[in-house]
Amino acid sequence: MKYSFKIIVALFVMLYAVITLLFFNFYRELAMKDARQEAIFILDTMNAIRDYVSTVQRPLIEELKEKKLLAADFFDPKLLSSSYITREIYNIQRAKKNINYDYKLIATNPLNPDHEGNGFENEILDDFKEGKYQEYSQIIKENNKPYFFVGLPIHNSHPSCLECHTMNSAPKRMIEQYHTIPDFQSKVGDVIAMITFKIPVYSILTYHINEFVVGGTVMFIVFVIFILFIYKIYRNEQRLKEKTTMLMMSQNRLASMGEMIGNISHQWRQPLAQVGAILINLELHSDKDKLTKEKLTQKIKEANEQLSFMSSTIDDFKNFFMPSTSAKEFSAQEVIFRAQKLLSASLEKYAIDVRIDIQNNFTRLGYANEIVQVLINIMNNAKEAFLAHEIKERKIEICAFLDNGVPVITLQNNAGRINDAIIEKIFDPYFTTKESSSGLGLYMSKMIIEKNGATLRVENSDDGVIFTIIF
Amino acid sequence: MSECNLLDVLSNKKVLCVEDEACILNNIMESLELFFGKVVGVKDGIEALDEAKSNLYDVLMLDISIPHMDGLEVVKKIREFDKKIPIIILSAHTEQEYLWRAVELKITRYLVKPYDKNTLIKALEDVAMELIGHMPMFQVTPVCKYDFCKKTICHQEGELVHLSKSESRLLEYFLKRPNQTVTYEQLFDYMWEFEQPSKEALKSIVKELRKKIDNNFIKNLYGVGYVCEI
Repeated sequence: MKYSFKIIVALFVMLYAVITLLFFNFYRELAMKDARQEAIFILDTMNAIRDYVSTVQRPLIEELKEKKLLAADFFDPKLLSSSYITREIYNIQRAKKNINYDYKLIATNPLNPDHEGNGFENEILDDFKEGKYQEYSQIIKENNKPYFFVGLPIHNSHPSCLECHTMNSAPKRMIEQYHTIPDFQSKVGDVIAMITFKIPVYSILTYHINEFVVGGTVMFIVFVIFILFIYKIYRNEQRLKEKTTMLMMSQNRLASMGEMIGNISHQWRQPLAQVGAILINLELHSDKDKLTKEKLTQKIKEANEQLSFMSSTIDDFKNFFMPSTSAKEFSAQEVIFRAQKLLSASLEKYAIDVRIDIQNNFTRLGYANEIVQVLINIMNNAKEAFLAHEIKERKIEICAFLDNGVPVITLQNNAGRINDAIIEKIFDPYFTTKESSSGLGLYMSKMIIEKNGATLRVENSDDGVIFTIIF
Repeated sequence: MSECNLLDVLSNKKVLCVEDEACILNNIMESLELFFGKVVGVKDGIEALDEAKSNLYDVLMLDISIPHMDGLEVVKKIREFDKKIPIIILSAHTEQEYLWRAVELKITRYLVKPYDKNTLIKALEDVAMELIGHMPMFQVTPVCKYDFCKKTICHQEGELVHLSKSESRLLEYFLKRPNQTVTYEQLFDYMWEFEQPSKEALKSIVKELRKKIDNNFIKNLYGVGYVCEI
């Protein structure tokens, strides 16, 4: 995985936050729209009631007055004032506690001081009067609490309105009640007041709480599922990576086993041939009756020498293959000489001159066998390079020294430089320039060296390559 | 012909053995000494080529992995001037590459190490057969034959005459080069190598051969050497 799991999850959380915000905003917007529609509906109802009072109720009362069924100077706002009636209807509703909004009528110079608007409301009313808009809806702040405010203009829709709202024509009982009647000074159809609807935003939102909760929950669940999904992918990737590493390890182990077996066979070939030659020699002498006792003893001794050499060789390899269970202290000299000994047959066969220079025999804690494996690997690569580049004077120089107090082992060869274009890549897994190579040798070497708390570097010299192990 | 003694053909022959490992060389030489008149061992390719160029050897036995020049390379160089000399290759390699190279060099045997006694004997018998041109009895003159194994001259009348080691060695040298001029120098080198040779000694061996076989089959070339007419 190219990006770390954490970054992806963080991105997802951010995305989730943004989407949630957008979602809630969208829902809020929707709720406001609903609220506005409801408010206008309510205000329209109020206006309709007002119209009913003007067009139905008042003429009826006039009619009753004419028929003398009512006193000619009869006046009662409970029957005649549309503002009064609508306010009372609102009060009844509020008393039943099934509403959560404020209803108010605002007028300039109202008869009823309750109808006096505040600065903000008067501003809106003026705008209505000037005909700037037909309705007004906005979220406003009052005492630091957000409210949704909707206003609708009231038109002076009927002549009967003017009758009462003009000093000259107002009924006597009305003047007695209110003492002064402010003059409307307007014609039928003019805006004289407005009715407003105000509801706390909070209660709009509470009303929609279920939708919010359900929506939020669904989004959260989807989000969690996504995260789980990503986690699952991440785990799989992780497991695959582990598996690949394991596979590489075992491939490399097999390859180095194969190489080691090659080395053992090199080491053994000579003594085997010698023992074979000795046996044939003995047999031929015996056939010809020329086998003396001295000769037999001497030949047996020779053969035994070869056998003990073979035995010690196999011990070296056995030690090398023994898995080390714990880190032990080892010295630079020890690992270098062990690597050289294990490879001695093939170094001799290919006439490679190995020079070892222990300037400082430092000791380190770690897995000696693993370091030996890396040294062998690098020397083997050099051997292959010698053969590939057909170099006659083959030299490998191994040095152990302290570089400003830092223990270092360098392996330098004269097997030709590595192309600058690929030198960066030689530690990559599966990178190889050879036909029959897994491309894991140097990759694993680097891994092993790093596992042992050191670093492995490579650079070109004049006529070859220098590998440096920095402990 | 007696099965026994094909290998006796080798008893007056000289073999060069090339092997870089001292102990193996030593053992092979000891073994070969049981069959050959003389065994010389060297350890590397260049030395081997120098030795072979001296032209004194009847048989070569080479290991492939030897320092400086590999065994097959040495053989290739030798084949440039000597197409006939029987060669046995010893090697631990069985890779095709080596075998192909070996086939082209017309070697007698390719022995894979470790080999056993019988393989070695068989190889030596092949070499012996090759040395005598696959004819154990050689018709030297119309009336007498030479038996390579027993080193005897067999006359028509049934008379058997034994040849000494130097006589048989010289005779076989002539028989290999019928109707060719053989110089004194060649013969000195072949017969005596580093010891001080003398014309008299050579003449006396030739004289013996003429006596035992036929007066005329070895002709003198005055001041040069001999030619064997068959």
